[in-house]
Parts: sequence; C-alpha cells; structure tokens
Amino acid sequence: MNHNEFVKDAIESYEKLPQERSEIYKRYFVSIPPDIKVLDGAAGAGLGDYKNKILEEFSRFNTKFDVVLGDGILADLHNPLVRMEGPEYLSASLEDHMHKTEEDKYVSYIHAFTDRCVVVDVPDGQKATMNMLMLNSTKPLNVSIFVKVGNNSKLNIFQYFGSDASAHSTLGAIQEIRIGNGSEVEINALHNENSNTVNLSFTKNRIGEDSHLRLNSVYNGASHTRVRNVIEATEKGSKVDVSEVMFGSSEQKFDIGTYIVNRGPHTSASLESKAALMDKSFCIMKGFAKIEKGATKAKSYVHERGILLDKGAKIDGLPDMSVDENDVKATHSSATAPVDPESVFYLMSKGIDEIGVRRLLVSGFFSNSMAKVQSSIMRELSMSVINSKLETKSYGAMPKIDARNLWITADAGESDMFKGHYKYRGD
Amino acid sequence: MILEIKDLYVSIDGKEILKGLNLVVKQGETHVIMGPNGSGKSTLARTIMGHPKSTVTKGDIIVDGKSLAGMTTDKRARLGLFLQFQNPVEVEGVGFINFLHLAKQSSGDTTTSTKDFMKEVKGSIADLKMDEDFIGRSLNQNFSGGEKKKAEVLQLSVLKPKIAILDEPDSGLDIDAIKIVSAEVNKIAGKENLGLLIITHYSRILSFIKPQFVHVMIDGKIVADGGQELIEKLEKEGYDSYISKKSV
Repeated sequence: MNHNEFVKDAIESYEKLPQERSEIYKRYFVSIPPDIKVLDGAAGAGLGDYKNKILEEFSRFNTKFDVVLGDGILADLHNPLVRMEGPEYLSASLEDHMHKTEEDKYVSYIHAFTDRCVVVDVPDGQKATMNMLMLNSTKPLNVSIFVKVGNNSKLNIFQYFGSDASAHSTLGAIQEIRIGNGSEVEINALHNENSNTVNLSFTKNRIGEDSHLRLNSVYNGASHTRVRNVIEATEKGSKVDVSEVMFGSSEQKFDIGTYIVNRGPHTSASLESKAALMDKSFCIMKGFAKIEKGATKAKSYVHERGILLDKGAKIDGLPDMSVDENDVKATHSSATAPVDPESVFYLMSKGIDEIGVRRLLVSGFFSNSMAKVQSSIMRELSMSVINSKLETKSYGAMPKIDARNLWITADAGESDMFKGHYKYRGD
Repeated sequence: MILEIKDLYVSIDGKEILKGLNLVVKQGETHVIMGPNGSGKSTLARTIMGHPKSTVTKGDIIVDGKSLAGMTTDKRARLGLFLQFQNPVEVEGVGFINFLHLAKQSSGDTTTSTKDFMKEVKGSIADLKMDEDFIGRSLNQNFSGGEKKKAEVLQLSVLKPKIAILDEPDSGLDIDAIKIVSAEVNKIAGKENLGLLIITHYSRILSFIKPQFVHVMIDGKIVADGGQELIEKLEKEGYDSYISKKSV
C-alpha cells in the first residue's frame, strides 16, 4: 500500500467509530466532533510571537527546550541526542499499525498525516534529561516521537503541549519507546492546550530486562482528549508504571484508554488514573490490565479514582483485567465520589475560603501521583496549571510557576508506590 | 469579641435539636457546657460555625452586635471563631503543614514569614510533646485519637482566634495527654485573652481548665447556670435530676 492509499484507508477506518478492542469499552467513548477534525494540515496563521513568548516565560524558571515543534512540523533542535527523520523512518512503524487491532485504526489515522518524526536516541550507558515543547497554532501538530534508549542508561523527558490562544486545530501525537536492558526512563507529558484544540495521542513501548519505565501524564487542556496507550512490561524483570491525571472544567471531555501488559516473567505493571472534574466536564477511564501466559510471578494493578467537584461533572471508571497465567498477583479497583461536605466544612471552619478548600482538596487528591514524578518542572508546573484552572476555570493560558506549589516535593519511595507526602522546603 | 446566642432554635433534616438556647460568651471568659449525650451540644458548636445541615428556624447568633445569619463558615472563622472538632475529618493527601499555612494566611496574617511560621509551629509541637514528623503527614490521616486532639490544639495555638469552641477536648486522651493539652490551652488563653466554650459530658478536663461559667444543657436548651459548685453537684448527682425536672 502506498502512502496515499494508506491515508485514504486510515480515514475510512477511523470514521467507523469506535476503535475499541473490548466489547464493554465500545459503549463508552468520546467522539470527536466532525467540525474540528482538522488533521489534514489546513492552512492558517503560524505561531507568530507565541513561541517566543512561551520560551521567554519558561526561561523565567530556568527551563530551556531541547526540541521545539510547531507550525505543522517545525523543529528547533538543541541536543545531539535528538534528530529529525523523514517518512522512510516511519514505514516500519506504520506496518505495525495496519489495523491489526481496533486501536490501530486510530493510530493509523494519526500516522497518516505525519511525514516526519523526532528521534531521541540515547546510547548505552548514558544519562540524559531533555525538555520538549510542542505547540499548536491554527495548523495542526502531528508528531511522531521515537524514544530509543540503550542498555544501562537513564533518561528523563519533560514534554509540554500548549497552543496559541487563537489556535483551532488538532494535536496528533504518537510516541514509541524502545528501551534496552537495565535502563531507567521517565517520560512526563503536561497537556495544557487551549479550548479549541483536540488532543489525539497514542503511546506504545517495548522494554528490556530489568529496565523501568515511568510514564506520567497530566491532561489539563484541550476541549477533547482521546488517548490510547499500550504499555508493556516486555522482558524478564522489567517494570512499567503509568500515572494519569485528568483535571477538567467547563465541557472538556477526556477518553483515556490504557492497556498495561505483563509479557515477561517477574514483570511489574501498574496504572494509576485520577480524575478531578468541575462544571460539566466528563472523563472515561478505561484501564485494562493483561497478564499473558508465561508471565509468571508477574505483578499488575489498575487503580482508578475520581472526585466530582460539581454536580454536572461525570466520570466513568471502567477498570478491567485479563489474566492468562496462574502464578501472579493482580488487582484492579475504581472509586468515584463527590467532594465530602464534611471535609469542606472542616477546612472552611479554619478560615479557608471555598477556592482555597478546592485547591487543597484537588492538590491533595493528586499529591500521590505528583510525588512520584522525578522531574521537578513537571511536578511544579502541573500543580500550577491545575491551581490556575481552579481559580479561573480557564485553561491553556501561558503557564506560570505558582510559588505556592513549591511546598510539594517528591519523596515517593520505590518500595511503596502510593507513598508520598508534602514536605517543607523553606522560604 | 462577644458571642451572643439568642433564643436559638435549630433543626437538622427536619428534626428540632436546639430549642430556645441562650448564651453569652465574652473574650477572656471560660465557659463550659455540660450535658448528657444527645442533648445538642455538638449541634450548637457546629451551628455557631455555620454547618450547612443546621437550619436556624428561630433566634440568632450574634458577634459584636452583628448577626451571623447567612455568613459562610470561613467568614465566621475569620471573625475570630474557632471550632476544635470532636472527630476531626481525615483529608487524604492534604499535608497538615500546607493546610495550616493556608489557614494562617486566610486569617489575615500576611506579615509572618514562612520561616517564623515554621518556628512557631515547631514550638507548639514541642509544647504538645508531639513528634516533629507530624509536619510532613496528611491532615488527620492515620492520626491516633490523641494525635487528632493535639493537632486541633496546635491549630488553636497558631491561628490565635478570639473565641474557641472545644468540642469534647478530652475524648480519646489519656491522663498525661489531658494534662499536656490543658496546659497548652491555658497558656494560649492567658496569652491571647482567648474566650473558651468547652463542651463536655465528663468533668475530668475541668480539673485542669477551670471554667468561670458552667451551664447544663438538656434536650436542646440551657437548664442551669452556675460556677464550679455546679460541676461538683453534677459529679455527685449526674444529670438525672435535670432530666427529671424537664419531664415534670
């Protein structure tokens, strides 16, 4: 199939919604309104000054970007470990997504409009950190990111997804992660697109023996977010931890589907999804855990939690599990509730106003997820955009570090993934 | 500050709990309300702070001549009222120190630096013989009964209200802890000219915090007022005589 045929096929497949493997999940999905289905690279104004403004804002808290993507595909590369590749590099990956599964139709759709990709290539034995800035303008941003990490290496990535105030377009992001043996990788994605942006994202991975992958995502922006991830603990002794934080307001819609898979023996896979919703926002959390035959001594759990801050908000938590091996430990759970009125009364009785109470409750709700994040910029900026939304109900604005969040520090031990607390850091 | 409760009638879910209660508490005074379980003591405390389930059907709560009717709970607290909870709520993930710092800032104190705030908190923690790791823990989560009470007194010490309502401050405390908590409350009351309204059905904490005014509450209203002699009488006779009087 040539590229044009592929694109035509991908669009036709995509339009036969939904792309879901599970029969239950087929009944719960967020459709993308047709009028904002603009993946095909509509012409429009570029980023203009927005890119410079946002870079300047980040420089205030000493954050520089190794990669800047925007205006369709425009790349500023400032790191020797990162390079751009053309369509030929994608071909192998495309073959992986020729509708073998329902999600693959979705991935093919995004892929169909991606003609270049960013390759992050960390060789054996190297440590690296990098920041990536992905910006939407009126032109869509369709990006494929390949993260390749060798053996015994360490990599920490912070990705910020934003959009110009006037932007009305789609973010299509595909991320493929391949990790060797004995490596540690953390990838943090903070989505803070404006209310005219639609976010379609997909991540998949392969991981070598005794390696550890942490994926931390905060979805704060975009009118519609549809995410499909397939995250696997592939080889013996490998570990994957996925943390998803959704914070919604107005009429935002989130459809977050993540499969975690134990493939090798002695592997560990966890998924923790947390949603806090205001106004009339809506979130579906579809966490699916799969333990394959042969994954002896595997550990797996899916944990979904939600709080409803307003009566019009709605959460559907659909944890599911399929276990094909006997000698394993596996659990899944889901719980959603409105804010406890007694907690609100208690906090207000100490003089804290309603906004302050919400801020405490929401930051408390997300604190365990945040405490596990090693990237300080991810941790502090995430809580800043969340606090900003609590106070203004809007999102997608220029991010600003809120000094009130400097109280939060990461102190989550590896032995206890739910452990985490606030700690005094001084003036 | 003067807190006046005038002919107060309060219902919860349609059931009348307070039935014409009158009380005046001034800053610097120590009052105690004693009464059996179910007499409405905790409802009174929560109503003063504006609990949304407490519906005032008649009467008024007045602070310095102004009615609290329609005032939100946080504004009542910022006037200088404080409630020590009988059963403090556990709030997942909210750091105790973050909560206390925000409460302190909300009280209008914007001049105390974070460093001085921490110094003050650590001083009170030492006075209350608490472990310093308290600072890093989530608000009331996995606290023992005694720790919860001490945490409330720690808040009292830092927030410096004008009138504090202590709802069963001794429940869950062993005798040593009662002495420690009482000493801290007495210290704050003396230093800050604090008005106290203590709610209890046992007299043991009153050996350590001496009230000037004693009130007996039965079935939603004050049925007797007096001084220390009333505590001694209750110790000997219990509440039966007041309950009998009511039924006659």
